[in-house]
Amino acid sequence: MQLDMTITSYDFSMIWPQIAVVVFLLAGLLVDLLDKRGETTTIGIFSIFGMIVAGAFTIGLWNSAATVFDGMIIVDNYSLVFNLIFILGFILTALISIRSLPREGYNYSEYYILLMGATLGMMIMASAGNLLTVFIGIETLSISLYVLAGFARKREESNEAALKYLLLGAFSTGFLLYGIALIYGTTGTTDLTGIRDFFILSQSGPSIVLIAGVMLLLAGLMFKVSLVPFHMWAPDLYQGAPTPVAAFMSTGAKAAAFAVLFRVLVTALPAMIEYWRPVLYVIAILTMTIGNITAISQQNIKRMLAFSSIAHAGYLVIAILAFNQLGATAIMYYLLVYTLMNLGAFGVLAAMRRKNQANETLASFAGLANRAPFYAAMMAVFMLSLAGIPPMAGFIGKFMIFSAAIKEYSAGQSDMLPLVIIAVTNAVVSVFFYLRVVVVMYMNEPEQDLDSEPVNLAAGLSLIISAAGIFFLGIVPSYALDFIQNAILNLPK
Amino acid sequence: MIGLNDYLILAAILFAIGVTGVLTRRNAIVIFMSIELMLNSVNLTFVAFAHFMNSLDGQIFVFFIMTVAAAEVAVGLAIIISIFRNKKTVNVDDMNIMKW
Repeated sequence: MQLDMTITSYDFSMIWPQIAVVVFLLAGLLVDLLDKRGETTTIGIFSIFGMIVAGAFTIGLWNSAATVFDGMIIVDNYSLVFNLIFILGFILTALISIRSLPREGYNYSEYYILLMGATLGMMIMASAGNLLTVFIGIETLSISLYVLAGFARKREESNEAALKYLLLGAFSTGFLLYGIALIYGTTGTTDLTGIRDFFILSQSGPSIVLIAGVMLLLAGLMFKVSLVPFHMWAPDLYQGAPTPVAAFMSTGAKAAAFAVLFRVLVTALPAMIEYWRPVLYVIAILTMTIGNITAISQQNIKRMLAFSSIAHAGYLVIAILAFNQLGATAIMYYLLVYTLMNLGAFGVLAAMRRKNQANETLASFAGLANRAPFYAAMMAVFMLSLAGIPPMAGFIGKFMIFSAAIKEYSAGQSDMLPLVIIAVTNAVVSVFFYLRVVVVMYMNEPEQDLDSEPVNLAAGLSLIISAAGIFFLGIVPSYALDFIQNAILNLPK
Repeated sequence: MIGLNDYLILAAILFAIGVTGVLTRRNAIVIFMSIELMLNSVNLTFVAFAHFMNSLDGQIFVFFIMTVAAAEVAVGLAIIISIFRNKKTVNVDDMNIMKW
C-alpha cells in the first residue's frame, strides 16, 4: 500500500477563495493588534474586505469545472454559487455585529476570526468531493460555531446554548463518522464518485452494512440541517446564542449543510434512492409540520424564527425529493433568498437588543412602528417574505419548490401530491405567526414607553441590502435564475 | 487468528457503550468522555477495514478524526469551564433555562 497523489500549482489555483479566507483569517489575528482591547471595528471591516476578495476570486473561477487534490475538492459552479451565498451571509452578519457586539458587552475581535473560520468550513463543505473533506468541512464549521454560540460567556443562556450544541453536535459527528466508516468498509473508498462507481459495478444490491452506513451518514447530515427528529438543539441554540451568531447559523450553516447533503445524495448515492427517499419523505412531512405548529405557540421571536427555520428546511427537503432540474435550481434559489430574509429578521432583533434587555419577545415589539419606523418596516418585509407573500422573493422560492414537486407528480410519482398538499397547508399556517409580528408592531400599543430607536449605519445597511435583495429576487427572479441554472448538479436521470 | 469481524464487533460494542453513556450519564464531562469513546470506536473500525482491505485511506482518515477530536475537546472543556464559573455545576439536567 502506498500513497499515490501528486499536487500541482493547478490544484491550488482552483481553491483561491478558500486560500483568501485563510490568509485574511491569519492576517486578521495581526490586524487585531492595531485595535485597543475591546474595540473591534477595524477587524470587522477588515474581515468584510477579506470576504469581498474571496468573493472576487470565486467569481473569477466561474465556469471552471475541476476536480483537484485527487478528488478531494470539486470546484464547479454549484460550489461557487454556494461560496457566494456564504460570503453574502458573512458580510451581512458582520455588518450587524459591528454595532451589536459592543452593545451586548462581548466586544472581542476573535469573533470575526471565528466567523471567518466558520465560513471557511462552509466553503470546504460546498466543494467537498470526498467524505473526508465533508467531515473536515463540517468540523471546521462546527468547532467555530461551538465557540461562537458561547461567545457571550457571562450570560448563562449563551453558555447553555453552547453546551447543548457542543454535546449534541459531537454526538451526531460520532454517527456521521461511523456511517462513513461502514461505507468505507463496504465500498472500499470514501470518494463520492468512487462510491457511485461501486454501485454501478456491483452486481448485487447493497449489503445490510452498507445500508446501515448510509443511514448513519444521513442521520449525521440531517442533524446539521436540523431536520425533525434531529432538530431539538436548534431552538435552544438560536435563542441562547448571541443574535448575530444565531443569524449566521440559521442561514449560512444551514445552506452549507444542504449543499453537502444534496451533493452526497446526487453524486454518491443516486443508486440508493429507493432506500433514502422514503426516509426523507417522512422526515420532510414531520419537519414542516412540527416546525410550523411549534412556532405558533412561541412568544419569543428568536425562538419562533428558530422553529420557522426548521420548517423552511422541511420545504427544502421537498426540492431534494423531487430530484429534478427544477428542484435543484429551487434549492439554491431558496437558500439564497432564505439567507437574505432570515439574516434580515435576526438583524432587526440584534438591533433591538440592549445590554440588559433582550427585547425579543412579541410583547416588546408592540408599537414598534411608532418607535422605530425603519426597523418595523424592515421586519415587516422579512416577515412577509418568510410567509411567502408576493412580490417578495420568499413566494417565488416556495412556488419553485412546489412546482418541482408537481412536475414529478405529473411524471408519475404519485406520492408527491400529498407532500405538496401538506406543504401548502403548512405554508398557510405559517402566515399566521409571521403576520402576527407585523400586526403587533403596527396595531398594538406598547406596554411601556420606550425610547425611540436611532438607526445604526452598519446594521441599517445590512437590512437594506437584505430587503433590496428580497424585492429584486422576487420581482425579477430571472437574472438570478439564469445564473443558478448554470450551476445545478447533473442529476443522474 | 483474529479476523476482521472480531474488530468490527468490538468496535460496535464500544460504540454502543459510548452511545449508552451519552444517553444515561448526567455529568457533562462524562458525556464528553462517552463521545470520545464513540469516536475511538470509529477509529478502530477504520483501521481494521484499512488493514484488511490493504488500503491506506482509512488510516489517514483516523489521523483527521484524532486531530478533530482533540480540537473538539479543547473547545468543549473551555465551554464546560465557563459554565462551571457561572453556575457552579456541570450537570446537564441543570441546563434548563430555555425550554419549549
